[in-house]
Amino acid sequence: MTDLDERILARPLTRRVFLQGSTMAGVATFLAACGGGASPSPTGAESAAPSDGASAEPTSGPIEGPLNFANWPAYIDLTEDETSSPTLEDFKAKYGIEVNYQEEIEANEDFYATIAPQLSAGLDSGWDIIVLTDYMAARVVRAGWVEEISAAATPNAQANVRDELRGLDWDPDMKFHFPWQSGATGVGYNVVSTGRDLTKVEDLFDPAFAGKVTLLSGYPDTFSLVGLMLKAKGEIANVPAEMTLEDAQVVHDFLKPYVDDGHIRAFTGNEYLQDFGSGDTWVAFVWSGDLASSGGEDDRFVFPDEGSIIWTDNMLIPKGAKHKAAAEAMIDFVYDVPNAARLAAWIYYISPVKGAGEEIAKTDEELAANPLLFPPADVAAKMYPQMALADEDDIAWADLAADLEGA
Amino acid sequence: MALLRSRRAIPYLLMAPGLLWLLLFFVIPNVQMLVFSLSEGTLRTGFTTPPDVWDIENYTGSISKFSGNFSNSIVYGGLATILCFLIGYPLAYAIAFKGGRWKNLLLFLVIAPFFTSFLIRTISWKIILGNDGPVLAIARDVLHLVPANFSIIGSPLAVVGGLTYQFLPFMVLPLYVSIEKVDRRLIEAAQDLYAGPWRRGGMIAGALFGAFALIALQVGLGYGAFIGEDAAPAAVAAAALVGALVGGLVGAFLISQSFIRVTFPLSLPGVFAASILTFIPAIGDYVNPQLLGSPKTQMVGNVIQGRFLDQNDYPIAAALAFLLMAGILLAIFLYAKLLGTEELTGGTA
Amino acid sequence: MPEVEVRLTQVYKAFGGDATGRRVAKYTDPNEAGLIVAVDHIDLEVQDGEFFSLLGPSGCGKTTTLRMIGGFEQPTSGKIELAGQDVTWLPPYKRNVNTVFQNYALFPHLTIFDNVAFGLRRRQVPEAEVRQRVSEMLTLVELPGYERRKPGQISGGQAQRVALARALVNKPAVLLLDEPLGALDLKLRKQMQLELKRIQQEVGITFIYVTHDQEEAMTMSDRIAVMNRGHYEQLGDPETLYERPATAYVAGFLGVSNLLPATLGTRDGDYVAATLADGATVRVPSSVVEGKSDIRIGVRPEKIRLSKEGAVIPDRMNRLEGRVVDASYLGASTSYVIESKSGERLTVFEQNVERTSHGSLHRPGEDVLLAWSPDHTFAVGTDRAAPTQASTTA
Repeated sequence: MTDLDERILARPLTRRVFLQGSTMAGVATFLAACGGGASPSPTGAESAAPSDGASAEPTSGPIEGPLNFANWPAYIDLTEDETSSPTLEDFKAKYGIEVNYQEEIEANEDFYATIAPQLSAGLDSGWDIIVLTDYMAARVVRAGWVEEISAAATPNAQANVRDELRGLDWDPDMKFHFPWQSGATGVGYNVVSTGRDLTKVEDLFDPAFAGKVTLLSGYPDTFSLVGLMLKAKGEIANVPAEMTLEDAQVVHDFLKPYVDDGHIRAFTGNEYLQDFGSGDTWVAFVWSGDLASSGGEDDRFVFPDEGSIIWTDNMLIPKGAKHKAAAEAMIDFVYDVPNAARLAAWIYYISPVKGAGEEIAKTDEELAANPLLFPPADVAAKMYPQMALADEDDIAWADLAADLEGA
Repeated sequence: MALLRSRRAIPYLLMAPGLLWLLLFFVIPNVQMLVFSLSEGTLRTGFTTPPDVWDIENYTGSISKFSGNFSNSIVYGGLATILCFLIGYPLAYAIAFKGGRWKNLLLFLVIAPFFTSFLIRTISWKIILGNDGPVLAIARDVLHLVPANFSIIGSPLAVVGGLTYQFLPFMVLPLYVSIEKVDRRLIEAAQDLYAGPWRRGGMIAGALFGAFALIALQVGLGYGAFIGEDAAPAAVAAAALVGALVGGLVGAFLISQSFIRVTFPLSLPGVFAASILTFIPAIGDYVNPQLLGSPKTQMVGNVIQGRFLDQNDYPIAAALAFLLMAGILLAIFLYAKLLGTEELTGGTA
Repeated sequence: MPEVEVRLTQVYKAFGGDATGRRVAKYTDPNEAGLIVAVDHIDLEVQDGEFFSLLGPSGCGKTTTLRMIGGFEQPTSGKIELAGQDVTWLPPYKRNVNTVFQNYALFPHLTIFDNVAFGLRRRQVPEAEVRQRVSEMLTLVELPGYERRKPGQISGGQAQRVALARALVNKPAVLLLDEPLGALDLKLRKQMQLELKRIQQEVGITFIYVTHDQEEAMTMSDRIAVMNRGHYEQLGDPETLYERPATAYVAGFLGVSNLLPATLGTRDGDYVAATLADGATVRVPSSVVEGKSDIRIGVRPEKIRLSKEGAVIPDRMNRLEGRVVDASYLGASTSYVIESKSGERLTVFEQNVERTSHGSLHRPGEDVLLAWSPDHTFAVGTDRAAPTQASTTA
């Protein structure tokens, strides 16, 4: 049982607080300052900026801009006045190229739908770097819609990516992706409403919480966590990444009665934050950091005993990207430990870069000890990645999830 | 001759931008959707489209698979429209007839919620109806009408309430316009011709509506499940009685014959327009069931949204969209037949 | 003596503020600042079976008076009785009174038949009787066969008849008509005036008719109340009002009149001598000057005979010297403007019976003698605008 909120630091600005929308004006000015157009302009006609040439690799060509970078909202560090990003500014200064950084990705599926037509037709998507969560990154990699990342051009990344993030079955040798940030999915609860501390996924199904429970929509988080619980009870044999469709059916059949009798009130996205606030949700599957940074003082997050889910948003270079060398330079740049530490301290999720914690500890002991940023060993040992399904399986699983969600 | 021809062309030229707009943004996407709705596959696996395949199963299968969502849509959309009417008509009437110099301000207040985003409004409803919100605070903590674990969020009523709130302006504005147009002298003429209070009719109509409203409230809240199956029939009967009493009194004292015989019939074209404007977006909504409902209250819109955006299953989504469109058109057709709009507008003169 | 059907006793109606007062131009109550007075303490009796008109310009309070009788407005004070029953506070649907509205106010969504049947059905008259009475009434207004049409499908004159039928079918004790012919063209209006009078005589119902058209009122009415600023200046049959207007306002509103300032002299039998501004003395029937001191005498233009200077005028006639200023040929008559020695201008109509084929009998610049019978002389008070509280019944 890890009671986190006691140890949470009051940060001036975290990703989730940022998402609450209080600083939309800041986003606008920031985006304006980034200088990119509304959409990426992969013309390549712009004159090649002088580059230091040191890390240029023959297969990737010279490092030319502008770098068209699609990422999630509030997923990059900002200066105090929120008009520019120190990381991006340093990158620009170092390589002398423009960066067209767009907060374009709101949901994996939606963004996928915007790039799939071009990529499947063998056309350039217009982006040089995109950031997708594991299962979607796996889908894009399997489709062969990504460029191979040059090992020679990314020495920092090759050396510094954390060991537990290596060896994924969809890209065992880190040829096509590098993690941007990671996060965990676990159990959130309001300790006043529940009247007790919760430690397990199974606690969600306590009859006392009937009608006050929400799960996450889609199968990756919910089926993984419930799968872990059923595994602990011996009803299924596999960890999430290895769960079969039969396992998914077991999860579905376990959850269905709880949906039908109203025990589980809803399947949500981020909006569980409001439900905690209004008292309609007492217990839920939540993403790490959300409740700690944006919830009430009685809201708690635990990494459940059965295990928690770790997911990663990954940088990919779409097939046919016009500025591949610049993209590789960026990937390597954010794996440089001081740069990684700066990003991690701001974004407030789990950094994929070895040594980032030590780097932060040099200036901020307390932050370096925050389990949300740096999960302790016992928790880390029970962190499981989500399943990454092939297309046919994905459709079947999504149908099972949709049946539970009533739509 | 050339001049004559060019003059004849003017009306077509004037229509051209509108027609082009419709062609580009209505006809073409709809044809595209129609093709999708008969195709197989998903965004990822790629589509097999007509004429290689004509997948009627997208339609037939969807009707049975999502029949629950369809009936939710029809019932919630219909109830929301009726509720909008019951709330909106008196409101529009009061603004039109008694608004005086406050008319414009009152109309502004009716549309004021539109200045806030749809999503924000739904979320604020979530707070109002929520566990710690004012509604439950009164019903549960002050009046002790409901048990401690009673929840409005997640019930069909919350969804219907949200829909009613969201689409009320769509009901009020057309009603206001048509009521405002009713010549006051016609009402005086009716009164002059012995149209007095409508006691008996008003009482019966009010009682029926009142009973209906309270039963719908109870069932919609799922109140029965909280007080136990045995007590439920008694509670429904009690609700019906209270509703009938209150409704009967209101009807008997507030509804006049001049209203029933003159004002209301003359405002029927507005009623027709308003209920269609309310029903169509209400039946297709997915935000309210998503935020205020539970998995059991999801509507067709949620399925379409999920299939399009989450699962990228365009064929099923398109087929559902067409089924919904067909259903709406059928409903409007029947409704127009029922109300007989031509009769309402005073014939051809 | 015929029964009194409608009685108004000291009926007063004031609207507060300008929000409502704007509807009609009213004058403000000197006693209560801000109040706009529509009807100022009217006493009125309308007899059973009478065709009674309220005549006056817009804003004189005639429509408000009618609306109070119909029940659409409540008086601020005073009492309204219908056939002896106090109806002051009764709503319209409880009064045995029906109204023909300006612009007809036919129900556009109902057929002609349903329009006419509306009142009967509200009173739960059996359907068979409804059918019979409606068809009788449509025959009376000469519209049989129009039952199934909608108001949008008939002409203005026909709509007018339907409105009449819709009201009359209920056999009200009193029928109120609010400028019912206002929307019709002149020819149709003349025709409908006769029609209305015929129907009124046929059904024998009391009509209270509001109009601003003096000719219309004269044509149809048994009695007319000439209204001005919330009260009526004079009430009487058309002839009395024309021949013996009691005030300058009435004299001016009904036809053309010549008014001359005069000083009253001695009484001589049925007449009183009056001296005009130019020194001429005329005789005035003593009945018309009763109770008046400061007066103007009046004479209608068609009562005056013109003759050349030096012609012999019988002694019993009133006479006045003057000069022709203008002469207008009007076909049946010629209209002269004559200036008296003291500078007053008089209008004179002369029938063209004796007219020669070569120009006017009298030409501008010509000195003429004006003569008229003392019996055609009337007298009005000098203060044209002052409203009089006293009711002047004929």
